[in-house]
Amino acid sequence: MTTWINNNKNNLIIMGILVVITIVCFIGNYNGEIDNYNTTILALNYKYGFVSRGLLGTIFWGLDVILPFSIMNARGASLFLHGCTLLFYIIILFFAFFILKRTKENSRKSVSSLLIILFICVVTTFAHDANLGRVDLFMIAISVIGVMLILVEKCEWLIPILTAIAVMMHQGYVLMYFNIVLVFLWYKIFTKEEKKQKSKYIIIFVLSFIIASVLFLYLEVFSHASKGLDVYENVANLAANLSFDGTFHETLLQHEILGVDLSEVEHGYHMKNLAEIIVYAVLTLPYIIILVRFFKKLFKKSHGFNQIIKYLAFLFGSLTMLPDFLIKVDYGRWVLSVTVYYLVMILVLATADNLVSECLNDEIDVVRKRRIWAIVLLIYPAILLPFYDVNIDQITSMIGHVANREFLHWW
Amino acid sequence: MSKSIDNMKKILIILVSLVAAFSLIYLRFASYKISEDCIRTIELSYKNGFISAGLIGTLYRVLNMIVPVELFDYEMIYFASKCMLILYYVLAGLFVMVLFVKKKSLFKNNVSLVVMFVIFAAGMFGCADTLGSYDMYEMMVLLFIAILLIAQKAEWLVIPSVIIGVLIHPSFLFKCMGIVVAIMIYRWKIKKENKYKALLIVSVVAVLIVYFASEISLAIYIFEDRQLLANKAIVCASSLIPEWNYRGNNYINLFIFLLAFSPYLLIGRDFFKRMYRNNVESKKVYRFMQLGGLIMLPEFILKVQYGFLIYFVIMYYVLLLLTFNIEEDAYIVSTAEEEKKLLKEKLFLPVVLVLYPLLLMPFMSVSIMRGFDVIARVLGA
Repeated sequence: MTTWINNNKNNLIIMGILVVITIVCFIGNYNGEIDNYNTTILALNYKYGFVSRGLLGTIFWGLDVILPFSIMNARGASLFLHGCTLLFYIIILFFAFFILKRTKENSRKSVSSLLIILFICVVTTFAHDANLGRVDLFMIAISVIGVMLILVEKCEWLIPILTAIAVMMHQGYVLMYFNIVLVFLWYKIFTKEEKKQKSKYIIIFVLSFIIASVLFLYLEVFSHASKGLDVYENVANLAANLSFDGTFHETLLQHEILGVDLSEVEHGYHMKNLAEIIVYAVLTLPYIIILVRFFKKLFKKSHGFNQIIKYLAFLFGSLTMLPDFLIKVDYGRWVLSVTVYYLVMILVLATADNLVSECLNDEIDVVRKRRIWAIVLLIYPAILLPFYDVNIDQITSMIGHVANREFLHWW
Repeated sequence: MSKSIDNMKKILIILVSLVAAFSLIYLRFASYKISEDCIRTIELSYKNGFISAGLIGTLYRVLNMIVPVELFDYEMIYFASKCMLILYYVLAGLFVMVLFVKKKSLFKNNVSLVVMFVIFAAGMFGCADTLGSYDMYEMMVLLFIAILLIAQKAEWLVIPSVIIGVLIHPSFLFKCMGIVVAIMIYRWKIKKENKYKALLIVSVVAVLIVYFASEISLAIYIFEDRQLLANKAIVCASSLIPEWNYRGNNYINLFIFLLAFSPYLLIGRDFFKRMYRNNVESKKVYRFMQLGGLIMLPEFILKVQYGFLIYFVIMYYVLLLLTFNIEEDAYIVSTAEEEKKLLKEKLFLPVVLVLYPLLLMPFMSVSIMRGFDVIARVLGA
């Protein structure tokens, strides 16, 4: 035991820091309230057919059946969502330790800095009332579990199943977080030289892709309840019971149960999103520059078709989010998914790929040489975050609002 | 010539960084409204006699008479409070600039401490609970005094400033006088500059006179206005009872905060221990300054706004450390260097210590942090 502690001393210190950051970020952004979107989603379940976003509600319903007391009320829903959030934090902490254990000594500081940014990102976002218990946390957790399985090369057959579970929780997974698993599988296909290993990853890749696509198409187009109006009333009543103030998210139910097209309702938000994303890009320019320099270095040092094709997928993997950016309006969530994609991928590849780890260390060393920049870049996410849903975050939403009122007049 | 251009460039960089930091931190924590408690700061005025905490209200009334717009509505009070917040930010920025101009090398060595000061200064007073509160005005006065003392210019202005501080709110005596007294005692006893002895005595006497005068006149006002002394007791009791209900919340908040803040408490303890080990002369003076934060104890016992109180305790030590570094105090500077070196060796990522306070901000009024209040409620306090 003592030897284990001595061997993992630095990792345990970093884990201690991450646990403290998790607790403090949670307390700092938590006000005990849950957005009715996140309680309404619990009212959707497979009792009404194979409806989209119905898996979480079905698990909740199943728990209600198993447990000796009813949880189909506001207190039960609140406890369930708090429990899910806690579970998510535990999974992310486990992921951090998993990555740290596999990190080489010379990359430990770079990896730790990225982990701190990742933690500030996800903990603040899922502690805030807009996203507390939001289904996105399951999607991140599933992708993280997926890459961990691939990294240890154990139970990889679980990946298609995990993909199906994630899509059944929310079909948005296909665009938002599936890229993490896919890109890493792609990386493995082009890394493995043994034919058998290569084929294994090709099969998992294709199978996961097909399952995700079929489920996505079905849930997006055909899954609305057949007896829409009757079901709507039942679900609406249940959803109202699940929130403390007796309200529910009407547009969510209208979209999922009745299949109402919300594009007209959402139209007003598009211009707002556009203004906010410009502001956000300006505010996060230092990180964008670092990322661009990192990839420039990576491509400069890479050679051979296999390496280039792997890193191209790594670079452009986040483009799966493009349809969401163009069609949908929850820019806070989209930006979170892009951020999580790059952070998780860099962390995972820093442990699996020497070239990535080398380029990362180079880039972080440049930043660390200018001490004040290192401090600012680490502090900056704590100022910008948490991410909201339709609005990206408080700062961009405020600047966007004032810019629109004074100059743009877009909405 | 090139040196002065270089200097100007550095000043410009610091200015831009300060504006960016204050703007972003404000936008992050701002709630774009003002609480009823903070609106009450302008309700009390000297129209009803020389009552305590009447200065802000009186000045607002005078302003209302001068300007052609009606100032006594929510929007205007919010706007005025925001203007004062900007002035507070300007003072905090000016304080940093004075530190830089005074000792560039020390500023560079203590950049982490300066960043922490900026985080604490900018993170506070932007949200509804704190915007336009008495504490914001008290902090403005304190920053003004700190600027005067560090720049060592027009220090006689400290006397009217402390009087204004107590007129803004009598709690200035406990919340802010500690740092003023500590700096003056340091300069008098350690630096042997006798003018600070006179300045200290006059400031303390002036503050005490104004403090007791405003407290006594408040009692007289209540007595005359209500005709019965019994009414005074009722008024006092009625204002205290709801406050006592917050005690449980306060204690839970304080306990969690001390737990969350414990890394800094441990570092602080280690710092002073190390300093005293270095054969410090005038140990008593340093001990006095170390324990100076305890001047706020009566406020902790009698009042319930623990968020503000904790803020002033932290500011006491941050301002004191910055001042001592600028003063090039041999013991403090060398101990700080030792401590920094040790932290770099011991801690894997010492930069986290600078990031951490931002996660704890902003402090609220009764609750220290927003989430602490939820925990206190869950525990039934």
